[in-house]
Amino acid sequence: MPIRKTTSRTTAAGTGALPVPERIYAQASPHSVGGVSMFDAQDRIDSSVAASFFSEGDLLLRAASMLREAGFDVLQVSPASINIAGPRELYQQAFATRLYVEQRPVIKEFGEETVGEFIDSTDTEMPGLISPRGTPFADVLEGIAIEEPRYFMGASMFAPPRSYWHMRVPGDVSLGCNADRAHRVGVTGSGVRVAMVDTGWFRHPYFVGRGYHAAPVVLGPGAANPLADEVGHGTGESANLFAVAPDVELLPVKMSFVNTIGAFNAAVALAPHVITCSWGSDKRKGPLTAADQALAAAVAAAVAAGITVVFSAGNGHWSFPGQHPDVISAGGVFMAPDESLRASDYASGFMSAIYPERRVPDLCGLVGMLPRAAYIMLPLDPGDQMDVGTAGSAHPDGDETAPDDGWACFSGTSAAAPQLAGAAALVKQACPALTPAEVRAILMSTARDVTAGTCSPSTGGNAAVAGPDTATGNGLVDAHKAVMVAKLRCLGPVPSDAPVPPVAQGIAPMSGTAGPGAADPAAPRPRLSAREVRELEAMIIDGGISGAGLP
Amino acid sequence: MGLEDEEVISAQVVLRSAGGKAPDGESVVTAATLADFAPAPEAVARAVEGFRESGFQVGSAVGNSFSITAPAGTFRRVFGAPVHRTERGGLAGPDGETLRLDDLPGEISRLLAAVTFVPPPDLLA
Repeated sequence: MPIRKTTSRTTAAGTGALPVPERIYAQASPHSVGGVSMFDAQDRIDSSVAASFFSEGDLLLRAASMLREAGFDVLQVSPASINIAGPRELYQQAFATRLYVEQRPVIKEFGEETVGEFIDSTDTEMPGLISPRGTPFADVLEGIAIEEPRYFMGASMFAPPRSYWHMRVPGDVSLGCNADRAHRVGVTGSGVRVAMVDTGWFRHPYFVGRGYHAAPVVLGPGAANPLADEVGHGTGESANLFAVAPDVELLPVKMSFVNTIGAFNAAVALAPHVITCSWGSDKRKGPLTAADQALAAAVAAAVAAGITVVFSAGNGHWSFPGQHPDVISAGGVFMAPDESLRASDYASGFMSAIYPERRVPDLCGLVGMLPRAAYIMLPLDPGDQMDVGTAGSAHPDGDETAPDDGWACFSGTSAAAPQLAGAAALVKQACPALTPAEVRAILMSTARDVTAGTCSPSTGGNAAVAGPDTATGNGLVDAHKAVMVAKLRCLGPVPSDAPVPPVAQGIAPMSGTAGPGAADPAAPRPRLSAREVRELEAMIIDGGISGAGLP
Repeated sequence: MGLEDEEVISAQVVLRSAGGKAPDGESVVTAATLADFAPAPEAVARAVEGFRESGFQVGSAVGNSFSITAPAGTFRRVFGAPVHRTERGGLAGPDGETLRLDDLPGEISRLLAAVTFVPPPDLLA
């Protein structure tokens, strides 16, 4: 066991009364079966000796139980350690220690030599180690290692160039969704919060370099390790969101694969304006399960509270909740190098057998074609599942990137959902008072009609035709037109909806930021009549007005 | 495949509506019909408290449900049955995704429509 410190460690950067994070993560190590603490090991810990630092199952269970009873969140239990989280006061009380923040020299992304803030205790000479000595935890734990800041060194902020036709973020995706022109008039998603419920979010140099805004990852039930995205899906899809709405605040919610509903509910509790989800399950017909109906109720509650909810329509799936009546159902359109558009045969299009007259999708984002829709080059956590899984084959079966370079080429309706969420964010910035139903209606009415191609053969291979259809819904999103119509709505009389029911009576109180009744009091007062708004909207949709002069 | 007692797992608690109604497999639960299925606030509070007291971490209540998270051993103790992993990587009890409520205190179980594990989703990339 490491000895208690007798003197404070000092650094070049010094110590001081720096603020301590509200939530501190750590790895608590129960006593090792080999009899030597991992914190006392003088030699390198590698695979040949790792098992000697494992702990007995009973001891792990007892330690986890004690930690939980003390008030810690137990996030994950592994053979060698227990991942915990809690506030500073809890650590200080439980382990009879004092925690403080210390600045130490570090090298951050892009070789920036600066200082990082590390949490440390007064207990031991080993940086970041808390000793349980003298507390009831001494019987079960050999030490508690406080999590440290990590800095990314593996990937480039630049996507690897590849010769096959694909889209790059942010430029090509923004252009394909006609978002550039919205950005040029100052509508970039600023002030809009978008929650993404997915596999996590990794702070890739691509995001850092472009200065995108992301809040710390919120863990859904059963999820762990907020700094990593082991799959890569959430990290990649967030680049689609930022491409369309570069100034939104991303609220990443990391879901475990054992409770997506709990993660969705955690996103609702953040009171965002928009929630985007690029996942679902295949439900060709009813009846729905208890879990499905709980998710349906959660989606309904979010929308009733004024949150616009976007779900992917599916990649040959009869996707649920992508077919729920309250969501914006995101399908796929393929844009070729000559800018021609056709329905993606990778994306679903169907009439729901569960919800009468529900057509899927509502409208589309940019999605690739069969066999794998390798279409948009996206950043992710180097060496994660998707980085590895897409590598190694020639396009279109693979993406021709390295398995550990932090870039992979993929799409699916997973990409369409955050693109539409980005467009919804632009619309909300342009007119905050719009309800989710109005946001959806504007996105649909302004979409570009797609008249060629067929959707996934797994959902019937429906043809795209002139006007709304069951391959692409109303067509490909046109963010600029949607923003213009939204601006008009804020200049005219906004149609009022029925009174907004609570999220659920007495539960999950929402802040007023997302609700349709929460119109910004500073928003422009109506200056146009309803007839004038209708006439101007029609002109915008028909392409007869640019909208550049709208405030 | 059985789970180690210390493995942290999660399930969703679905509450009955204030009128005792719960959605069946054919119900259309949308923003327009949600009020028909919304639980009473005091029922939510009582159920949350009951699961907290039994050692679960309780998530945000939204719609008609909230999550409970705890080691598998806690689930086994409270629900009186072991939990296993399914072939698809999800979780199930002896009767499938939905757990029996028989071992819960009556004052809690009467508030609930179901306690269910959530099947793993398909990522749509």
